Amino acid sequence: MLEIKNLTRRFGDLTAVDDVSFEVDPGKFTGFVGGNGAGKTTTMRLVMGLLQPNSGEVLWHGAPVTAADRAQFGYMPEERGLYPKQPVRNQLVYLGELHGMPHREAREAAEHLLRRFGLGERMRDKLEKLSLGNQQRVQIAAAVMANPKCLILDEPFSGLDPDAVDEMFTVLSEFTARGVPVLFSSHQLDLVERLCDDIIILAKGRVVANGSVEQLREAGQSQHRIRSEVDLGWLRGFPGVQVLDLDGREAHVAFTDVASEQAVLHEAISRGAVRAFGPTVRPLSEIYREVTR
Amino acid sequence: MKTYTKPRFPWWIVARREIMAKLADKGFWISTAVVVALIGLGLGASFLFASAQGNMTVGVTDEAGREVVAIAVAESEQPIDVVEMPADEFDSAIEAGSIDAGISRTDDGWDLVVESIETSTGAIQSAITKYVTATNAEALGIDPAELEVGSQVEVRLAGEQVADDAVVALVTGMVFSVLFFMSAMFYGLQIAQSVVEEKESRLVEILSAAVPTRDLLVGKALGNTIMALGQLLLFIAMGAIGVSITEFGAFLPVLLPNIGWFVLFFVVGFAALSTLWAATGAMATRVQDINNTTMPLMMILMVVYLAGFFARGSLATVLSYVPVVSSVVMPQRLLNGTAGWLDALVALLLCGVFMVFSIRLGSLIYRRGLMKTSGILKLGELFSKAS
Repeated sequence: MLEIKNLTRRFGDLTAVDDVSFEVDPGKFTGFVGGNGAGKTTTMRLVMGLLQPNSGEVLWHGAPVTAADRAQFGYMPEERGLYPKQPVRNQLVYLGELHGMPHREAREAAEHLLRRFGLGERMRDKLEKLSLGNQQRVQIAAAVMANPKCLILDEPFSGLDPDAVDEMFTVLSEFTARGVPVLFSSHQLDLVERLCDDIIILAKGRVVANGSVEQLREAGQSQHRIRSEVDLGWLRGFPGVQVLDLDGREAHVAFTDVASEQAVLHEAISRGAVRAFGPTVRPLSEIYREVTR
Repeated sequence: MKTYTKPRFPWWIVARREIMAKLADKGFWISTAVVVALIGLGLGASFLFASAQGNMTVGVTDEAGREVVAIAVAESEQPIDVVEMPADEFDSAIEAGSIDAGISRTDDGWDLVVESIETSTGAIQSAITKYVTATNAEALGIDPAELEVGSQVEVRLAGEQVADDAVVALVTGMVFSVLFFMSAMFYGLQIAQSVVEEKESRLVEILSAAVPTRDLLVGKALGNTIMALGQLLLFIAMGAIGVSITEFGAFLPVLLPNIGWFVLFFVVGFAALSTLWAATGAMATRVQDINNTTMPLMMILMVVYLAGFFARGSLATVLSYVPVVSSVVMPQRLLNGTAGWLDALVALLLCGVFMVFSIRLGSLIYRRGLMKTSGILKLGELFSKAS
């Protein structure tokens, strides 16, 4: 398990990462969400040891992470980084070797990954000759080349079409299935919501929300949608109910507690047939706006 | 699933990639081919020039003419070919280029026919005088040797004169200077550029997360040093083969051991600088910034270059121990005999110590500079607390 404990990093007067703590559990996708300048990339660089924290620490299986541990992590930086003028296979082999793979195994792994990503015919092509989407595939291949024990991916899916996202997600799922923790950042909230087990929301360098998608939803107000055979105007002024939207026989409400939820249900049934009564699933974007407000 | 641990020699993996990247680079092959072609052209021209200056051929009409040429050969120690022909054919033979001069006896002396007044005929003229004097003396019953008593002229040149081997040492030293300057500049800028490109593309984040920055730095320096050395040996081999077919071929046995010293000094001096070149690349954020960050190294190279040309006497003695400058000056001193192998070892040791220092300094700058993504790394930032 990867633990980030009270990390703080300042650049002059700016505190880019402010007492950030969270965990990335084995075998789980943990989504790292936040606006520009929220501190996602700095946190990832701190995890990879590319920047030194002013305070706090990164733990790997309970002990401070070492350079040898980090050498077994797969990392994909935000601004894509590979040699544009070199053949893609050679680059992957080189990176595999730097992670300790023997040359032959690195070559076999590179060829296997490239074939899997539909780039089998383009192994000898220079990176710059590939489309941006394919360059992105090669970049992900570079991160997973040497069977990493942990994956830190900064915006891995930006620039990929939905099919490519699914394809890459399938590959990454093979790693989580083996218990590898995966931390990835993204601006695409719907994607994070769909793919991630856990979500960490960062704003102005601080963690403002942390937990599974369900936990985050439950943490906010409980909202329900009600549909009845009769007019629901009576909901206004009902104790413990906040009417968010009312349109005749349909209403969107928030309850302050479970008791008022049950009281409303009884009242609605007594007034007429109830066609629908249930909690609404709040999109992550809404939770995000709420916690970063 | 198999897991992998840190490679034993990551710097060698980096060095190998540098070498392979260079070998796959068209620019590298073109520049090598151009220099090889220039060396070849230079040597070819000097060879042609040397062969154009073949033996002189003199036309004679009789045995007396042959004797005159024999005297000229004995006096000048230069071979002269002789062709016997009638005197009236001299003009046409000279025009045709089959002879350079023609000599014939006339009633009141000798005729010497040449194409131009600039044709070198001093030896022939002096031989004619000697032959005639000897013949006349014999006719008068006098020993010709007695006639020459006291006529020997000893020519002494004013001031301190430079011996041939000293000239060779001087020229060789200049060649060392140019070679070192060219290689260090060419490869140095390429090292700096490759570092800044890795920085620009953020590839450096992946690399330095995988292996320690010192390994990256040493690997880069080693790979480029190997390539520069290979290229240098190629140029030296071309030069040595070329020199062996010219009149300076006689100096080769003296030159070769000193070239060996130069190669040794080149490797240490070049390697010491190359880690600093990588560091100057890390100080920049964009390729355009390199001109600013590499300025101090350019100036060091200029000092090395100028020292190779102009440092003499005690200045040369001092500079021959100064790391990097010693790469050019010490081989020169070894060549002209003002330094021995012990001096060379001391200079090499000092340069080696400097190399260790430059690797440490280079690593520090490299590490601090790698994550700097805007502007140029200032010295203040470099030595400030953790960044």
